[in-house]
Amino acid sequence: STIAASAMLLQFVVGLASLFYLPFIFSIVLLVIFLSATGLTLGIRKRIAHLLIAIFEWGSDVSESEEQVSESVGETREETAEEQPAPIRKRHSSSDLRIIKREHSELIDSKLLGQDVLKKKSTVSVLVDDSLDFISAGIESIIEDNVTSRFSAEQLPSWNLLSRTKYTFMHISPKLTILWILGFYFRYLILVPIRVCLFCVGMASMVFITSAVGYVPNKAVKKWLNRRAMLTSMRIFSRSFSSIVNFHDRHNRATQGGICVANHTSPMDVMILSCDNCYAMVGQKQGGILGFIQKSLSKAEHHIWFERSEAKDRMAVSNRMREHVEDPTKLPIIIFPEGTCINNTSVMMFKKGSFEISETIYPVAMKYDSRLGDAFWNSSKQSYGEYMWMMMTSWAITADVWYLPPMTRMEGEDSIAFARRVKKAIAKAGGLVDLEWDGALKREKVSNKLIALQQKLYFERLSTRTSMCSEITDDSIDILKNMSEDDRNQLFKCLDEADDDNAVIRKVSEFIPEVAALVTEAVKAEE
Amino acid sequence: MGASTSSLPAGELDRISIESGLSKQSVLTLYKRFLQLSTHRERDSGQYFLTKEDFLNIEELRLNPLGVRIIDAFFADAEVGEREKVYFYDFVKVLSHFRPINKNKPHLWNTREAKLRFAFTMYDLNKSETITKDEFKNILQMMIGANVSDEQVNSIADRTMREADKDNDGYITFQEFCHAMEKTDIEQKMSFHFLA
Repeated sequence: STIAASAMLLQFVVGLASLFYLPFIFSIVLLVIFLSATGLTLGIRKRIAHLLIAIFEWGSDVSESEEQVSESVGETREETAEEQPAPIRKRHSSSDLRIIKREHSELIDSKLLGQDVLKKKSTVSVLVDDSLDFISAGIESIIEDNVTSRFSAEQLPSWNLLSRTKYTFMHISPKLTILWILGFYFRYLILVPIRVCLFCVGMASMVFITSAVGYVPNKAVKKWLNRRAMLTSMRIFSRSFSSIVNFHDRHNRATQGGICVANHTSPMDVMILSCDNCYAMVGQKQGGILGFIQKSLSKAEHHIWFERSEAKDRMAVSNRMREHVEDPTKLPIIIFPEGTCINNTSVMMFKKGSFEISETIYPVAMKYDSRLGDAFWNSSKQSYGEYMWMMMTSWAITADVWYLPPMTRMEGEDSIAFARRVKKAIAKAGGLVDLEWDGALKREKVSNKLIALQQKLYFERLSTRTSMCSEITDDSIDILKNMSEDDRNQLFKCLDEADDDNAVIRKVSEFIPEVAALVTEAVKAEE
Repeated sequence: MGASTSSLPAGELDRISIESGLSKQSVLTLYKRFLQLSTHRERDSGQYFLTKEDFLNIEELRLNPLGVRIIDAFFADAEVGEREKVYFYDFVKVLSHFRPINKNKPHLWNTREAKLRFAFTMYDLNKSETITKDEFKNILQMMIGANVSDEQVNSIADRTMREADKDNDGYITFQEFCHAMEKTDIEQKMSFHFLA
């Protein structure tokens, strides 16, 4: 009977639709063009988004209560041995493990960095204890590790009525199925045609208007026209994907050239950022349609397109970018230093190349809300075309953009440290996790150096915590800790990797009289 | 969309859930993870499996000094070791050792003894059911690397054997191992709360 009802409803809707369909679509397209050109907004997308989210939550509550009913009939609930604090009322779905509490790995990390307080124990018990912790941390990483999970799409707490985010084990009630069917028709029959029209209009306007603007002789007018054209086209594009973007701290926007740096989640990052400010784009010269678009854009403004051969020459690339950046009449460049799309739960290592071009960087943090549509592009799983289609058939793309105040390289700071500092700021602003992992790691292996470093850290921990080394080294390490930072740095400069224990002790005692005293004492004790 | 669309058949799910004592949600979570890690598939049965390389793809596991040992533990079972493929059942069997102990519902796979046995196989390289001084030195060296001289490693290993080896026969048997670990809170160390 539910199927019959749904069929009747459908027939009614189709009848209505065919009458009003085309005029409806065209009027919406015209409205959008008007809004984009003037930069106004009616707030319709936001209201629809709120409505949708309310529907999703109702839907998941419905199915959760139905699931509980069926479960309590079938199984007895398991009580775990320890009391867990009552979680917020989310479904106990299997997909909730997006970021598990990595207790054992955190314990190892705190041990290695000397942050835990441990009484002096016998070497043996420490070693065995630690080996168990290493084992548990290893098993934990088999269940979830920081790198692999960053590259698969984020998990959602409640189903958003898109079959692409369906869980493998979820109770689908009839109510939810009807909702899904309605949603499906709404998306494919109403949203998609509007969006496709808008996309074509946006593309046409961008290409033709910028080509036309290229013929304007007056530079100032040209710049102003280009700005209007690009902003309008980008806004039309962003509406064609129903993107809802919130811009924060707009006073920090880059206006006079310079480099903007942002974290990367999807190919639409540029489009979203361009809705608010005009940027010069950087990329490789492509052939075909993309190449045609690139050429048209370049007629109205300076963009940086590299030949494939040029792109390999890092010096040439940075020189060209530097030239552009130092010219105040040119638009700011937008660069994504991660080098690849990350799933927007964290920020991976920034490549230092972009940070060598200029002393000042304008960081921008972007965070997508995946409740209405996941913008993350997993380039190893989806082709570009598939991805675009997915975006067009989602509910909406929600994003927050924070403009951070410009950051300047500090005295004596090298590019890597500068990059790390900027990355930290971006991660903090966007509420993303700051990871040291290299984005290229998802394709390559880790070097032995990191393994050696891990071993070295562990050794250092043991030597300060156990009775493994002689008394002298223990106390001198205490003294070292109490030294001022400057003194310590100076001391380390004197020491050499190749020095053996005696040489180290000698050098340290020369530097610090207290240690010399200890040495003479110990020598006397041995005699 | 590859692996994410395949799901565990319901019969399998029930069987594994009952045998391992894990809840269905946990089994499914592990299955998702298993699919994420697996890069091979059996041609005739369509079953996914893990090889040693798949484990080594996990960077954090490679960084872990005992990483290789942990991987070996998955291949410790004679059958699994021979075919060099870890099926989902084998995967779950090993991981279920780390389920927290539920006093009301004791289960064979995650008793204190089972956990200790798992730790024991970490040390016992040649599966002789005993830990020799050399095997202990082996683990020690994996954790510390080349930072410590051979004599020091030796002396630590000596100290350990002296403490643990009650009958002084040069080997640590499983009973002696359990006895030495009496004071350690194994339940807390080798359990994951999220594996219910």
